[in-house]
Amino acid sequence: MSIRIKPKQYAQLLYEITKGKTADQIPQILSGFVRTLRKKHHTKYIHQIISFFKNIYNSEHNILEVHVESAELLDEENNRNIQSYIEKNHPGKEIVFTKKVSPQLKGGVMIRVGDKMIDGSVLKNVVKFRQTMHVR
Amino acid sequence: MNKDYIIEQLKKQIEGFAPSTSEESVGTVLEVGDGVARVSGLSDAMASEMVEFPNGDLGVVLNLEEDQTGIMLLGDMTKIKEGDVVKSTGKILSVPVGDNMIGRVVDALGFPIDGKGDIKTDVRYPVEKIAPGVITRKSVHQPLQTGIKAIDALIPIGRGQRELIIGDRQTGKTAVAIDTIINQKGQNVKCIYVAIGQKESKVARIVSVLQAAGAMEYTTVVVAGVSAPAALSFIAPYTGTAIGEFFMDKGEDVLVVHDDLSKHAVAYRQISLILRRSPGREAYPGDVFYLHSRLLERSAKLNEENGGGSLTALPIIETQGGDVSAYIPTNVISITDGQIYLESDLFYKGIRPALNVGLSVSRVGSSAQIKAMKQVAGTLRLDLAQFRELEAFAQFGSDLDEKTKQMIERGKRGVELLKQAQYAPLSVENEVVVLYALTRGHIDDVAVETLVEWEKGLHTYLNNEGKSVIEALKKDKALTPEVEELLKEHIGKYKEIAAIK
Repeated sequence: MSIRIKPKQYAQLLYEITKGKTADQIPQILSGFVRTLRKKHHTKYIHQIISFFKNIYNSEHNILEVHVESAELLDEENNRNIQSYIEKNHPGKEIVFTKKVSPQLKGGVMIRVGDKMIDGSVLKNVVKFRQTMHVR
Repeated sequence: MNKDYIIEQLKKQIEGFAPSTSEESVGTVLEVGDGVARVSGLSDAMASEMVEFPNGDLGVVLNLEEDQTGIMLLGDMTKIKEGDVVKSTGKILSVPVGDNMIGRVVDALGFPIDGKGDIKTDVRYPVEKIAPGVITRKSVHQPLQTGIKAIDALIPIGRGQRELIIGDRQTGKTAVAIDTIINQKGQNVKCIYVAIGQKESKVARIVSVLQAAGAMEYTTVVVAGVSAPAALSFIAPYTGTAIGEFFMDKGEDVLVVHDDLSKHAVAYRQISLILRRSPGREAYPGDVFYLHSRLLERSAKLNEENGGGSLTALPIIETQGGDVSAYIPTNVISITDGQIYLESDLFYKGIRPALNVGLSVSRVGSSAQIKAMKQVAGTLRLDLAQFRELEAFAQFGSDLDEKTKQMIERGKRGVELLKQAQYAPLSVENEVVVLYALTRGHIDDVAVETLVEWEKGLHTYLNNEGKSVIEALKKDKALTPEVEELLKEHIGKYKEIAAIK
């Protein structure tokens, strides 16, 4: 009887075996890893494994991923403001931004750090306003 | 106050609408299916907290796991997709309650579905609530009259009791419950009928029956139909109880009918299996007992310091082939304070309500009977039990001694007299008179075949010429020697009239 290995354990394993390895060693290590996945019929968990791996890697390397979504491309000043705000709230972290332009927000920005979100978009405020008007 | 001022103020308010932003806890949908979503993130979520999906639909957190949460969806799951952002609301699932709920048909979340417009109410009660504790309770001592002779005499139900109605399909379980609701007219009891997994056509019929009987004036109907998601069937009885608790907390008496809890257990089984909780006996999850016990424990009779309100529950369970030893029936039997057992054999024999007197019990009821009922019905159960034993000999006819013959004849009349038409509940005073006539041998000379007509006539007589008896019973609530004398006299008079007819 085999013990079921969970995606999180795979991710932990992946992190351990790739830690401190050079770029040319990685493909060989990964091929072994993928072979194991296929043998165990666990390739279907790959998305979850990747997501857990990201989390593990980030927390080990003190990286903070910040997702910024805005209606238009942000200018320098706004970018600086957001960066300084995040740095102030998460001191000592290396911050990696991913930015996205979504016109459906109509205006404003939406900042997401891990499972916390600050939604300052016009879309959200319109929805909130509509709810306020509807209830009372 | 002129209108321009109001309009000016309104404009000012709208201009002054300050958009505020705050940090929210969010998660991402990993997978959706069969009414359940798995979400990563949501690290601050509480058990049974409401979460909001991008389209405004709500969900309830049921499973809290190491790195994901299992969420039961309360709305349309077809609009939710992988990667959607789920926001936690920080609120426990609650439903609107209040006086305006009365007379309405609502869904499991308390939204009206009867097309009579919005329900205006400011109060919300949590769907899941811890039951009243020992300190706040009082023993059940007031009767809740069902208007059904057999039940009020043999299996009395008290205010704050939980009495199970159990039986196969098509044995008249719902009819007993509906009759009970109809009989609460003018008794200051608020009624809540919770339909779980019922056909919408059946619910529509019940609502129209209640309307025709004038019972919707004090009744709320909570519907989670067959086509509703399992999640709504699961929360419907809790919603009904929450609506009832509002009135109980105000010191009023409430009757909640859960029709039926077998389908509730099935809905919960579905959700649990999709959430990958381990299946147990009959594939029900391990906490299916707690599912019903925490629901029914919320029925209570509160003491005077807590307002003296009560919440009576009439859960209904459908058995398969008369098997009361299946998993869910045994669970609910052990939770409730007694059961009304309806049998299909009796039903087809024409004994309706098809009550099995031997297997039906009420564990607290007898302290919740009026004295007059105790006086007339005291020997009834024993008489009927003896009759059932002797019934087999009845076919030998003339070979029996006088006493046995008399017992059989009395028994036959007892069975006949306990029959009652649907939607025709009787007042407790009328019930007492009929049972008095039976147990004191006043109808031993009335032919069994004509007994139904005879009884009908008796009620007409009592409500007209014999009003003094009914009034006296209403006042004293006991068979005092004077009342008994009066009663004997009137029964004698009626028998003379009936004989001429």
